[in-house]
Amino acid sequence: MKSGSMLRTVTLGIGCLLFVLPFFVMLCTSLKPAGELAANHMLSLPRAPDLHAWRQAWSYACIGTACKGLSIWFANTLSIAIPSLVLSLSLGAVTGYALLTARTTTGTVLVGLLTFGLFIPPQVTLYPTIILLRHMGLFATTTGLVFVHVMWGLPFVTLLFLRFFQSLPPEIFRMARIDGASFPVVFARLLLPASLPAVGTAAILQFTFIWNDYLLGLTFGSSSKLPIMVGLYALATPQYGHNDYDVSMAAAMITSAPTLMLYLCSWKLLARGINGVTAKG
Amino acid sequence: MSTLSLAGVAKNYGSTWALEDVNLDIESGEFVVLLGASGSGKSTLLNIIAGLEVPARGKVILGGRDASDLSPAQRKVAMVFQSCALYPSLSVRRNLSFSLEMKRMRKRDIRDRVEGIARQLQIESLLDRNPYELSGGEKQRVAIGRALVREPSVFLLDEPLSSLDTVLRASLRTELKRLHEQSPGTFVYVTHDALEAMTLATRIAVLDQGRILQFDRPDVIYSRPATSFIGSLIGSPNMNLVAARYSVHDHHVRLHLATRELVLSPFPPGKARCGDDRVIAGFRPEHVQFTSETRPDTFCGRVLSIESTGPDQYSRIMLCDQPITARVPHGLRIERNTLVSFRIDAASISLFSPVNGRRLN
Repeated sequence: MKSGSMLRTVTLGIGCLLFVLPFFVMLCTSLKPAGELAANHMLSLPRAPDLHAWRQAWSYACIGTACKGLSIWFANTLSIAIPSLVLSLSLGAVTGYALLTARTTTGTVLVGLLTFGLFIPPQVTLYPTIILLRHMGLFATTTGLVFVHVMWGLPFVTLLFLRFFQSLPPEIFRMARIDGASFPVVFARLLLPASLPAVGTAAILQFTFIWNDYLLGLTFGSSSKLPIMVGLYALATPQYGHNDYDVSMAAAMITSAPTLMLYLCSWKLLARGINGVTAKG
Repeated sequence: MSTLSLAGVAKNYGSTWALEDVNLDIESGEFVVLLGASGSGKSTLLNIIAGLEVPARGKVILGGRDASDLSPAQRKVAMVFQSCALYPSLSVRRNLSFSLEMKRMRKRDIRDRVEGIARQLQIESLLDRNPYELSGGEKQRVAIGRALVREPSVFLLDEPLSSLDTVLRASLRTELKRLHEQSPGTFVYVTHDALEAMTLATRIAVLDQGRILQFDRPDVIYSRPATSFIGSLIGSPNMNLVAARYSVHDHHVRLHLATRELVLSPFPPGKARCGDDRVIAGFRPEHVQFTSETRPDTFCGRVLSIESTGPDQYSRIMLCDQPITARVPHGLRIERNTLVSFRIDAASISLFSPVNGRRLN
């Protein structure tokens, strides 16, 4: 082995270790029975692994006043994330296409504003958004939270679609005009099927953002239907000075599972999409 | 009746004018090539005919009707782009049928027509493939098929062959010519390739800086170019352009070229210029005839180089201080760095103004 590739392997190995170690500790801790946890070192493998903590976290753990585990929170988050995802993707794709065709000053200004919107942290507009939602009668409702997620996702999703559409050969759109295809037909039948990589990328990043959100959920969500990150925080916060580390770790694993699974499943899908569909026609 | 007329068409992008006052009358069934360098406005003109761009001034008249208010889809035109522009998400079959689906044609009719065109272009085996699985030549055939399917009255082709390799280009050129002969439609073809223009066109419109310099049959454009620019644009090797002087005697033009004098037929009325006897004489390499006899009109020059293009040999000869190109006929051997005698066919000489390059005779 050459020293160059040796160095590379070692560096990559250390990098991997740094990322995997916390995950490893989480997994081991969640599988250790309660007694073993205190008796052994943090990094040791569980001697008699069991799923007690996972069951506890999923179905029985007490969060706030209810002792029904994370399962309800999981469902809550899905009911927030799915409409937010669908709405922001469809709105963003249509807006991206509209901005592509509108080569006017207004269009340019709008693209500029959207780009600007990318750089505003949500914390800055938190209070004005509360007032806005209160006026709309949507404050502390799931609909309101979905609205906020769509609003926050829109600049990013729109620009992502716009940039992708701009990478397609422009003659396609001129050809479609000669063929007499209308705006919706071009969008639905020519553009969207060619944009699977963009849809995939947008969906993954948006879903991750919505799933991992804590601040917006806590601020705008309905108190009876808060997202999972709020639940996890409540579960993992020591109550009366006591903390079940195994249950907390299992809960953290459950909470991060959907985004982890999404990445694992999608990178191959994305690679296929990029190789196949975007090859210029 | 002309199927396609352009009347005073002009187009600007901000303060730059891509087209200035373009007038063209194209007859039904013609194959017109718009020839020009990049930036000459030829693609803009094609887009205006298609209705994809709106002219700043002037009108497009299609089949005797002012087409200004017609959308691209209503104009009965079909277009083929250099990049093929196949719809990436649709199969070849769907690419071919898309425009017919938009017209809400019956499914069975669509299938029949698509399969007929595919047979004609020998792309039947590709019908169920996706665009990204096709080679460059196959893509362009599909793009041509997509135009044919529409049965348009005008075909607009925007440099359809320029991204293909030489062999493929030649075979598709032959095929386009055949399609034109079989089809009742009018073809308008944009290219910067003079050879394509010469082989395909029934008439060539030469564009430069947004203006049409000449619109005529290929043989006329070749033998009587309207400007020295066209002379140098068309033909390979280029037309020889050499500085000379002229005088008018007894209604004849005497051309003083490198200490020799050639008698040319008289200028058409109004073309003779006052006060300036400088002129640019243009003649083709094949109008130089090597000779062994010495006459008052034979020139003498040193051979600079000889190059072969396969069927023909060309030599570079120094005529006074200006190099010219001459075709060397078969069987004649000439050597580098020797002196040769030759005549220039006076009847085929074009005279251009040295000021604006316009043809004088």
